[in-house]
Amino acid sequence: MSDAIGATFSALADPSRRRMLGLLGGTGATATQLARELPISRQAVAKHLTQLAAAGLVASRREGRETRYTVTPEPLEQAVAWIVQAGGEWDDRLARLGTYVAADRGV
Amino acid sequence: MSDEGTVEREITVPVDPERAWELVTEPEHLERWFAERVELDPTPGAPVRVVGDDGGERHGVVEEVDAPRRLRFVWYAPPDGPPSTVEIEVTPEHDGSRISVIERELITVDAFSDLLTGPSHRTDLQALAAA
Repeated sequence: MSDAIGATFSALADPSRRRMLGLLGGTGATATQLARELPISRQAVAKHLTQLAAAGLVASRREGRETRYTVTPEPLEQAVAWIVQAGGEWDDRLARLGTYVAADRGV
Repeated sequence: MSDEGTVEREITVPVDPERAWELVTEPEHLERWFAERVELDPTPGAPVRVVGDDGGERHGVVEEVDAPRRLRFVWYAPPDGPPSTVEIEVTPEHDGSRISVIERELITVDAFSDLLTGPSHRTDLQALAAA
């Protein structure tokens, strides 16, 4: 669980990989198609795809001589869920702190 | 979408920084706002134990203390909740103090044990988790 969320954040830390996820949305794309859209080599695209796949963010499927990649959103949802939950907890804590200080001025 | 697993929040309170430091480091005060039960000693290496309103527990270790400015600890929800670091900073403001919080998701459980500098600490932590 923790490893999975950490891998998701690491995979998302790179701007090229985030851009690739954007391009892969919907019907997906092959490495060649991605390389055409990005200012990086096909080899670099393949390397990023391997990292995205390792983080469970993309799935691949053979299509003739090419491999088509599509986005698998579940890890993203988990990563976003962590941010939403942790953020909500701090909102609650700091709201209580504000109330406590206001009720308790000069203690 | 955030680039990484980081949450940042802050609040400005109308008390001086020394008072604000007490609010964020003394269990007596922490139990009024942070969680139902808080065991925390602002000393590097000291264990952290927090019990939430829902009974959920978090265990951890104090990593860094720079009184009355900065406290950092690492914590996780046993047995395998994702570990994260929490950094609480107190900054003087003209009419009080700003208390800012940054919680960062750690990359892996291994990174968690690395932070605790070595296998003996890791064992302590596992004992802590089991307790």
